[in-house]
Amino acid sequence: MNKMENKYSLFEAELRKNTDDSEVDYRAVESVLFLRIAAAEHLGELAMLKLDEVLSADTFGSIESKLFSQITQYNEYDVPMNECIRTHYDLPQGQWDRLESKIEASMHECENLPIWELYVKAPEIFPTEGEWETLEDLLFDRIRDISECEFWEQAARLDRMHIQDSLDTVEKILDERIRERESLENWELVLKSEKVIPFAKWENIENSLFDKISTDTDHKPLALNDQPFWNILNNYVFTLRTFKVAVTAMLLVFIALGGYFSERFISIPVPTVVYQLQGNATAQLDPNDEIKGKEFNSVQGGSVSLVNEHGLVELQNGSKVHIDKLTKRHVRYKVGFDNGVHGNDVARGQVAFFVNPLKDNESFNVVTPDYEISVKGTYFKVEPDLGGRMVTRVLEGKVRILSKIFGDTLLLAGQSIVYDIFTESYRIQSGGAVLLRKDLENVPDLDQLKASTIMSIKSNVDDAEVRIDGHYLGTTPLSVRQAPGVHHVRIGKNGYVMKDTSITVGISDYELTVALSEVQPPQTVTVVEKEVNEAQVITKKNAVSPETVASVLLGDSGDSEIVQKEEKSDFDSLYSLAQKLEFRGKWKDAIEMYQKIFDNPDMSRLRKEDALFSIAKLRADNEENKTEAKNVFMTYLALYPNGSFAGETWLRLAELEFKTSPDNAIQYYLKYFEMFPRHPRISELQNRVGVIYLQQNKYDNAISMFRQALASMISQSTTERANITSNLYRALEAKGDSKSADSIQRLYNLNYTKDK
Amino acid sequence: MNKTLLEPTRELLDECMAGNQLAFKEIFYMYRSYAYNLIYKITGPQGDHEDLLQEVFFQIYLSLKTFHGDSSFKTWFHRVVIHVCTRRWRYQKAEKRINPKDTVNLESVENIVPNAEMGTLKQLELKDLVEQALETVDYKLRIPLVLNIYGEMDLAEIAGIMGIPEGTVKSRLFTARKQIKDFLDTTDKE
Repeated sequence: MNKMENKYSLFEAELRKNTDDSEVDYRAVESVLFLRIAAAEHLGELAMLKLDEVLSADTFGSIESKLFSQITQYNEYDVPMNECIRTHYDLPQGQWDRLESKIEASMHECENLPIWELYVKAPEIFPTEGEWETLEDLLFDRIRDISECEFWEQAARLDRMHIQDSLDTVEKILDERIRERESLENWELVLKSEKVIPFAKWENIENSLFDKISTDTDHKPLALNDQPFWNILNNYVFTLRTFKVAVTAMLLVFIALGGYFSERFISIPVPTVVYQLQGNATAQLDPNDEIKGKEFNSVQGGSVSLVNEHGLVELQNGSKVHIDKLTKRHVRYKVGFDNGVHGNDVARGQVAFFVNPLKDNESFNVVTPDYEISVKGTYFKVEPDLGGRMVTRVLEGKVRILSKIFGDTLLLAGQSIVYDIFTESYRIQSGGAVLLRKDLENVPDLDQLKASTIMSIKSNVDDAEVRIDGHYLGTTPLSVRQAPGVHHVRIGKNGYVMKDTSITVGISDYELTVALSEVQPPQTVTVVEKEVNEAQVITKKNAVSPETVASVLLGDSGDSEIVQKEEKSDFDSLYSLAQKLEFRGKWKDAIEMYQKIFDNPDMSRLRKEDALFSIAKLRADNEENKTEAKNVFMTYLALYPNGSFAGETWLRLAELEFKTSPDNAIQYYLKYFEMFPRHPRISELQNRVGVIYLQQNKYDNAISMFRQALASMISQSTTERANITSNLYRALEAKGDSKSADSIQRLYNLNYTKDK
Repeated sequence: MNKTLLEPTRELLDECMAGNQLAFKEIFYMYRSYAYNLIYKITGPQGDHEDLLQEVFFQIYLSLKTFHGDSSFKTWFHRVVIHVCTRRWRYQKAEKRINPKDTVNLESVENIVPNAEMGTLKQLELKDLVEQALETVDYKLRIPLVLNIYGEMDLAEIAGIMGIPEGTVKSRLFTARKQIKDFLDTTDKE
């Protein structure tokens, strides 16, 4: 206490020596100030806690700061008053620093607040909510009274004159706490003390927390039970340490055995079905065969598609797949290629994986003799390159690849891991073929496939293109699973008459054999004959329908039966009549007939589409001025942008513009590629576009297109590959990239010599 | 329970549950200092306090939907703090077992050996001594001690938060106090 009094008198003397302002009641201010200083000195770190509890540190800090600055101004002191106090009272430096920083920070805050708010901010003084309005009125009255005073004086006055009750409460709480603390041991006091965090640090924590709250939306809430799991273990089960160890060991053994048995015996197998067989594979495999433990070989000139819960696997041209492991959690395929890797001949074939979208922790590991990568994509394929090295291509979406050689890399669709014979290492190459998600979604899901029947389609000539319900599915011979119901099948091949038919598939397997007939050269019919015949018809039958006219125009006695049927206005017959006219070379009449079909509101959409496309095709093939044909093709695309002939229309347009406007042609070709990325002719057309680019000196585009052509090559034609490779070589040379060109040249020569 | 820690109003909690971040800021301001100190005392001076503090408030924000008012918010809040700290502690413990970096190398040994200028333990402040003493106390004893002294909670409140019987809390508090006193006595004698 002596120390206290001594300090008190020094401080008072210091104050009184330098001011004669008798109106200011320093004693009131001092009493609070010294209370705090004494508390701070006595409690050490606890002083910080007290500041918060008593008057809210912000309010008091501000008052204190203002007070000191006022005193300094009055006294014309060189150093602030708090510096004097620090000297006299010998508080630890750390405490003062914290106190000052807190005062300064709170001063800024308090300066912007009205005085009554400062009091509201002190929750210990007026904590009850119901008194707020009264408090406000009271405060405003008081503020009016004392608004002429200085800020610190206002505070001092308020403390002394008006809120005596509150101060009493505060003192009472303080006394209680001091008594409580006196009863504690020193180490308990230390444990009770609070660490003060600088404002800047709080700001960082707050910003970081609210950033996380705003952005991180994937977390699940905590599962807080009244009785946490570990407590149950700690308190009720594990009473002895040895027992704890024994039980833990037993649990571990149990979990390990459980894991082993579940993986070994209880793992749920996943069914797999053969979705599609094509070409030579149809002769080798039966789609209804048992899949389990079987090795699938697509044989040369054939393809096999398998579907299971994990997605679709498509094997082509002699590639093999053995389903090594297949459960709900795990799938492992072993892939092999015809003629082996690094053999005397070049390995052939490719295996494409259309994977269902993966979850966060799922990925496919591709393990080749040279590298191992983790693929998180939905469509990727593996195939040997000309040197027999494995190439992994990703064709859809963004793909994350984790591997030792490339690290954690994000690849976009179109990029591949290829072996560079020049540097003799693997690298990532861009500019490959790209697929769209919608193309993959055409693949039916497993449940649909299991309920489906197998439709086998054969034709008298192989390699005829098959479209079912507008989707290109492959070439004959073809076995494909289809849902029971009505399907529209179209089979066609260059030089043969296209067959269109609707079939109804039941629950048993369906076999369709189609005989395609070669297109006959048109018969020569003179205009005079036509007129005569037409006149005869009108006279004889008194019927002027164009169907009848056209049928007679055919001039074929064998068609007279058809004419009879036409009188029944059968739409199908009308259509076949138009086709007949077309094949006979009577294109103008055929156009007229197709126009009629197109204009008929009762016609089915498919027929209308066909009619419009046929009109355009006939005009393009027969008229010298192609403008009209282009217009009709455009009309078709405007009416049926996703129609059955949309792809072919883009292709036709591209062919029409090929010589006159190469830029337009390129755009049309690109549209076609987008629609039919797996079309058998895709690489040939990409090569063509590449050549246009090359002619236009757009080397980068040309290189990219040639590379895409190489990537999307389905046939194993050495000539076609050599053609594309030499074009690529020319493009690289023209660009000045002789390094890459040389490597292509080497590759080309290598392959070429071997083939010889 | 600590009287300076206010219970948020039902309206404020409802606003927070509805995803109002401004309302949640209010709760953050009310509890941040207390939470920081609680974490500091539970995890010791080596703990990653700021990270844990952020985790605590993040979990509170996420899990508020599961708070139905069966207990007071303060009690629930303590459960979250203890849950987050314990989870981190167990994670670190597991990590220690498998972390090859923990094998002692020459450098780390040299750092641990005190040099001559460092002085004896006696010269260390009481604060450091208490922190060292707390470190020697097992986690499941330390939590009730911190809640009792710093959180100013009685046996029933601690038992409610930790989900253990009052008798267990009492015996743990006794053991914890004894261990700390023993540690301090030993260092005094040294």
